[in-house]
Amino acid sequence: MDELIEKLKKQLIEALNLEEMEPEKIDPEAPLFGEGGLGLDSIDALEIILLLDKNYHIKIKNPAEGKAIFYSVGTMADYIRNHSVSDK
Amino acid sequence: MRHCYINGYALIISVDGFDSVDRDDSKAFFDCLYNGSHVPRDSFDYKKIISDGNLRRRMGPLVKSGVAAGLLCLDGVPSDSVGGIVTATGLGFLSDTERFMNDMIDRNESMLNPSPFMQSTFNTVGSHIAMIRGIHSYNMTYVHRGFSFESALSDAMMLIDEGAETVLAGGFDEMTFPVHKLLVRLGSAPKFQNGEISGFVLLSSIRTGNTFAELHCVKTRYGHFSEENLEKWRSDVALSYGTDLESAGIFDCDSSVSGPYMTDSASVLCNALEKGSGKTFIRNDFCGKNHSLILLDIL
Repeated sequence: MDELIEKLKKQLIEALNLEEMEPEKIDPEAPLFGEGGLGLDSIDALEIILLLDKNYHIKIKNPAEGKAIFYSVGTMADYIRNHSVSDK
Repeated sequence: MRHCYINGYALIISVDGFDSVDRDDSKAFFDCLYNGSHVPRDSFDYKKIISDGNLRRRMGPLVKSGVAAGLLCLDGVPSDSVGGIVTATGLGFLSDTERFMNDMIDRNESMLNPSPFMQSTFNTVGSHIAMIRGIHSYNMTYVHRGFSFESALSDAMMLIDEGAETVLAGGFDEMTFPVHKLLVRLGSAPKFQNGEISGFVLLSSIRTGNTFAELHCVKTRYGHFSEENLEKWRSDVALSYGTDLESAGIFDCDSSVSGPYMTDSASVLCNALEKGSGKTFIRNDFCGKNHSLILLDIL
């Protein structure tokens, strides 16, 4: 089990108030936004940016990168592994 | 003045804790009173009333409760017949405000999430109801402390008088532990320490087989007066509507489960519609200075 992915799922559920969602129900490869995934929207994207900054000290400097980074829990975890200053 | 009927009502009370020593039966309380029936807690589901999951998960507890109570009242009512949504709150959305302010401190006044800020504005409930139901008519929220609901109800009655077919009117407030602590120091804390209460009524110019009451008047008077002076004012109001206080039923705003709070008259009105009959007064003396009388004829 990938610890970072499991931790990210719990953080997303808490930050986005996904009260009807269990961590095990989130497919790490499924898209976070739009149809076929969690169905998140642009307000959630802002909350995820805050989550990365608060918990991993990562600032998304280039907004164009956001679409690829936030595609799924898996892509977010990869980005954190490559860019995290310190993992709290 | 045109006749103003109450054709529907909904009251949602969800309280997590009381501070009153006389309530040792339970630390938590939930009740949903909808058009005369109590919906059991285990069959009450916000998902059935507010179906959009993304919208629902961003709502704070009071927003969810207020929107649900308003939507229950409007169930089966065509959106184009609704001439207005008039809401009232004394203190507004405290938990969202606290969340936003705590985030400001935690994040050093930068990188703030806008959701709790947007959801903490007073018109949030009225605007959500309008957007969910596609109602484009008059939409107003009164934040008049102890007279908030009375102001909203008066406005709703005037809309009916001006020709609206139906108008939704409601009052809602919540309590959080920090605010409760402050109100205790000020000597005006309600019994409930944490929770939210939303009461809505559907006013109509048309009497139907489902009409619960006819609403006659909402009167307010502000200031500190002797009990004798207040009693004379109440008697004069009753007499001007062809009744007297002795023969009418009276529901006091400090008798509800919550104890007095700023929009208590909304929940007491719903309780009166369930339990009262005939000429009935809702009597409010919030903080000894917000005096109001709501007169209705319960059918």
